[in-house]
Amino acid sequence: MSHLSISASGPLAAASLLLLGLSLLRLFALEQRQQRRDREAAERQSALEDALERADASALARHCLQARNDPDLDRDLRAIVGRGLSSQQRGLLAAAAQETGLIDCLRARLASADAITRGRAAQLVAALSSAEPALELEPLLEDEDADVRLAAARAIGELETREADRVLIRALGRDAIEPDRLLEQLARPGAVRELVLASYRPESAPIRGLLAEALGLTRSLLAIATLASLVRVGSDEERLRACRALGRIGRPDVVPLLLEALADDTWPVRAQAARGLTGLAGLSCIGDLERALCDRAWWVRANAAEALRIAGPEGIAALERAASGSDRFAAERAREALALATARGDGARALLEIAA
Amino acid sequence: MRSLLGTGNDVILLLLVALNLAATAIILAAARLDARERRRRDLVDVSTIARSELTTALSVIVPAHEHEREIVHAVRALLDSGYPTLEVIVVDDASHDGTIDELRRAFSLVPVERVPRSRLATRRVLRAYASPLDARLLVLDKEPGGRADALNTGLRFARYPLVCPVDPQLSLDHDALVRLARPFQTDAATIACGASTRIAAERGSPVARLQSLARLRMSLISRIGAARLGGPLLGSGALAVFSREVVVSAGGYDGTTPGEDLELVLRLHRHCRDNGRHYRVASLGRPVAGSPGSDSLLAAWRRARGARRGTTAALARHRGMLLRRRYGTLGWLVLPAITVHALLRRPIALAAVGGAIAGLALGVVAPSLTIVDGVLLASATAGLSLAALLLDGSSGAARSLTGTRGLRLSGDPVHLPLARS
Repeated sequence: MSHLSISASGPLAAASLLLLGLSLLRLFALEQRQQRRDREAAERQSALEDALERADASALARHCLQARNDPDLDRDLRAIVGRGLSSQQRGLLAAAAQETGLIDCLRARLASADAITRGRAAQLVAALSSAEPALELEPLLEDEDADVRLAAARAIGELETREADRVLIRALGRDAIEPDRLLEQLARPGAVRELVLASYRPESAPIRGLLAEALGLTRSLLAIATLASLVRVGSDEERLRACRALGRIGRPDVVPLLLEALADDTWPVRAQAARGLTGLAGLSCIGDLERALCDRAWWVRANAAEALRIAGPEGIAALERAASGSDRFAAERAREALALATARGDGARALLEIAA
Repeated sequence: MRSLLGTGNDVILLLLVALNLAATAIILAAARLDARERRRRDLVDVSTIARSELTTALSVIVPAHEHEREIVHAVRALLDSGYPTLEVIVVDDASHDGTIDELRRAFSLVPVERVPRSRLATRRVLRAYASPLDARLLVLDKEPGGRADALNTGLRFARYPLVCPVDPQLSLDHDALVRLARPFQTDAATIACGASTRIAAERGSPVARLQSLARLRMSLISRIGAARLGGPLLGSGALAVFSREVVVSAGGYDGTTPGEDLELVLRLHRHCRDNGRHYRVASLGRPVAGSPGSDSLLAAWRRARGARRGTTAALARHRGMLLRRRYGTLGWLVLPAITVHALLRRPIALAAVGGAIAGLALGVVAPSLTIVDGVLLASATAGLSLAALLLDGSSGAARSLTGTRGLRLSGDPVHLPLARS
């Protein structure tokens, strides 16, 4: 039986080694090219910043032309836009994009077969379009690529227009994108009007809980009336989310509503109400929180104890009463809260001693 | 005998050529994947997740046993990690040193009562402590039961939907938790997301640097595997975030198997597929944490042996998944490949070396052929190592491997040390 000789195995081994070497060379060349591109993009970006600073329309047009001709050369534009521009700078850049045809090119790229090109185009269309682009970007919220959907949601959110808010609220009703990612884009006071309007529409019933959550994230006083109605007549989920939203708004106006929710039939709503009162509890709610300390649900008692611990001397006095009271379960929570309050005091004293 | 040795050497030569070709394919795939990931990076938004109130809350579980030196530093680093909503649960598994005392002193711990939120059988929790300085910290002192039992105890008391087991000696990158949690924010079907860890060999011994290189190679291979096969497994030493609900419903960690991390991931796959659940296990392309290297060859060998035993035990426990249609690529490709690697790698290597020596002694194999074998073996390993170094330069692994004056490819990593090395 004949075996492989060096004359037969040598070329085989040499060929495999050659292929390996070539693949390494290719990888090295790609890395080098990428590093060169990174450097060039950084240079272009600083040139673009200069051009914006000097309001140099011809330099801006050059940048827009580059981005129009090669989709991979729009990095400088996206970096600048992502960092935030003054309205004057944005206007200059938008005018250059319009003149050079970049904006039309970007609109065409929204339908590109390449997902990354679509996502990048969405970012720039939102930033550079002179007309309201929210409706144009809306289909991308249902794109097949998850990253494109998120990029589109971000781009629409950054528009901060009522049309954009409406588009985002409509997308809440569809399952194409995680609702929380849309709510993040609505988390600003300006979105409160559209959110309130949407909350009262009959077709919004399936997303009313989400709208309550979004209203809380706006932290706007204008949201309180809508949330109040949800706390009173909403479903379990809506009442729970409304309580959380009221806690987020965190103004004295929400205290009566949270106290009302503290008597809800569902314990998670009561627990959320007690949690919402943490940091808000004044003299007016000490009694209610003291009663909540005797609630049959552990989480309500725990959250009430925490709210009393933060509430100052009156809260501590209430905890002391509960700690020596006849309700064993309330006493346990109260004693723990008092132990934490005392230890915090000790810690503060120790820090003061060290500082002295 | 002579004929057998000759044939054996031929087979080995062909295997080594195949190994080189496989390394070539991996390098080319890695180059392509890297270019694609770089382009996609522009669309990936981590900063919103890092500051959003709506980012899914995370319970970090730190199983501690005789960790008095590093535990306080580790807990502080986790609390300062910047993850939007987080709790840190330290589970002390009956340490004899001052682990609990150190924590008590640093965080002014006071005894509290806590109600478990999940039903898992664990050893008894003796005491629970909270910190008035930071409400996000919970310390549990329990009866001895091992790492898996400590993790299950943490799972029982975890409040949040996501859990992340973190050993105290790990060094997490500053955005590690956010990046690991990202797939859960964008796809509700995600049940786990893992990333490899690098060996933090800065100021380390040559052994640690070799370990680091080996880990980088494995990282590269699993990265390609994850991209091509959908990230079905989390490799050895991986850092992972899990959905608490799924882990608890699958029964938590199994303390009777040495490789409890791999075993859990396999069981999660099995649990989801057996119950017809649509799910996804995500895997990040790059390492997100560093673990300390071994100081000596003996320690490194023991560590490798421990990992091998863990893998073997986990594979043995789930051998029923092998070559079963229900488990798809995992059952047909990934598990058989890992099984061959774990069980047959050493016997094949020993047979190859023994055969080469015997062949040389009997004059069946020409010395030049043995040299060709050696060159082929070294080139495959060196090629993969070089590729891993090139691709991982920006994540700081190259710097930690080569020290401060060595090969530094690009980028400036920011590390969040969880423990002093």
